[in-house]
Amino acid sequence: MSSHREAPGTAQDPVADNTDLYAFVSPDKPSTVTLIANFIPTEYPPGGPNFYEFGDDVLYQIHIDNRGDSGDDLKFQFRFSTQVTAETFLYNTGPISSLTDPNWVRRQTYSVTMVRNGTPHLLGNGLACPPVNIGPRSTPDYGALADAARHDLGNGVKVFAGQRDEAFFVDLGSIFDLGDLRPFQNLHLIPTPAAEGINGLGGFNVHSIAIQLPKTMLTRDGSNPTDASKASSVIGVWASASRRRSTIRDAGGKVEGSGPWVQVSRLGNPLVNEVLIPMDEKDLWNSVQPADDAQFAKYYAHPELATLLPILYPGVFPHLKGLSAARADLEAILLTGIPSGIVPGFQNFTGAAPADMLRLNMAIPPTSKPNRLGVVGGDLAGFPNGRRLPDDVTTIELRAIAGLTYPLVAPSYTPDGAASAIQDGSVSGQDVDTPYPGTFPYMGTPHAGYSTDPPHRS
Amino acid sequence: MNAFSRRSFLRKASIGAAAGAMASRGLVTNAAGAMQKQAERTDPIQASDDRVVAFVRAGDRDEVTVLVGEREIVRRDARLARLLLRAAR
Repeated sequence: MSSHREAPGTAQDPVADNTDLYAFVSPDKPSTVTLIANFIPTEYPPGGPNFYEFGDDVLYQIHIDNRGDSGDDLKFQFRFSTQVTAETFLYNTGPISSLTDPNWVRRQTYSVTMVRNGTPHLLGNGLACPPVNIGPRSTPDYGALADAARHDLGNGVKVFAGQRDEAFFVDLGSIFDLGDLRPFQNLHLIPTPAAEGINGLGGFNVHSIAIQLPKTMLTRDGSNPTDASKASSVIGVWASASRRRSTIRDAGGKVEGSGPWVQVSRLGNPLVNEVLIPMDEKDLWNSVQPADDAQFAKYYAHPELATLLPILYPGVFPHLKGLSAARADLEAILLTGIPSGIVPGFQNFTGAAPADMLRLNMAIPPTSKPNRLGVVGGDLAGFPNGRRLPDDVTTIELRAIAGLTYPLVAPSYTPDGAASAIQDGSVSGQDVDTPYPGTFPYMGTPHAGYSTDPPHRS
Repeated sequence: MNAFSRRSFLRKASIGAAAGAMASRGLVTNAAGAMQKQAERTDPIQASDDRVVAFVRAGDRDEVTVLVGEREIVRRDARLARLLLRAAR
């Protein structure tokens, strides 16, 4: 998955598991940027009575580098607090008709703190999350509950934190069955008849933290970015989850943390820790800051998957098989940003120091006709210029690793024909169960527990 | 006021309060409460309800790490480390 259960540590700690990160110029409000950090992978909608929620003992953060030094010049911190209002085993004792309904027994609120150059500013406190989507008796008007949980913090800042439909799509079953990419199974080393792909995340929910900010809050000098060629138009973004250094489990079930916050999960570009970083370094990768990513650069320059594709698909990737040079194209896309002069009219370069961040050139306006392949598909407003919800990042990165983007840095290289045909089997956002809304927080309504069959029961 | 002089002050205050107790038990209670409040105001560790966690890493037997609140204090203190190691036996 994008970064769901991608490391041994996060697989054991879903509440602190970054699953996806999105950063895009808001399509309906282009003077702003929307950042969405998702957590808690594969939420099974009927999963009560203890439904999914953020961790009160986790520090969630979204970091922004606006000086090109891979440090967080600006960050937003989110802390959650759970309240239980009645002595019952139930999440709710009747229909929940509002965010203050006394029938809602277990609820969460949160605070938002902006830290600029090390100085904290509390932007909001006691902000209500919506309940999870239980079903027509418990949450009969879920849309109204979710709408009420969109908070305006003033100065053009909006925030939402709560359950949403999983926005990421991927044919997970095919990728982890020895890269047996549907519908190309007939070409695989262990062939089977070709069949259509399946979105392995269909039917699941996730927990989202979404914040919309004026661009002028994000630039280093407070200016409104309008010139895509300027370095100041580009920000680097990553999200993280941290836990306290020490945990003491007392008798009686009380758990208490001590000491500073220690990062246990992070996410910049999708699929990196999932696919590029070796198993025994995944927890390490999660624990370090992007500024310290030079130690991992060799895995971006020589991805294991680029070696595997010619083996898994004999005779399909002859040019990729002969490509042994360091993949400067992948390093640019994922670690430094793409410099000027590579893609006409575009750059999102943040300096030569390698750092895994999602890089957004905020001067590129949103398009009314997005291409799900983003920059590779000629749409400069999509991945790897930030990341929008419908961007097919799995296909984009599969094609890049297969050699499609290598001519950007080595024009004499001819990619294999398969490099532009290979794709993730789930094909597109068409397989996402509910449509992406056109307004903040842009993530779809979560699946209701009552209405959910076990995913892919057929 | 450093920790030693503060303790001395509190000890004197305690003696004073004890003397007063011969006249009034209520005064003792009040004085002890005031004394405790004085300690809470002046000692950042005692002022917090946070638990204090101290540990010695396996790789460095001369160093003690102390966790309190959101702070981590690392002290090179062989004597303190030995005390903790002895307590762990």
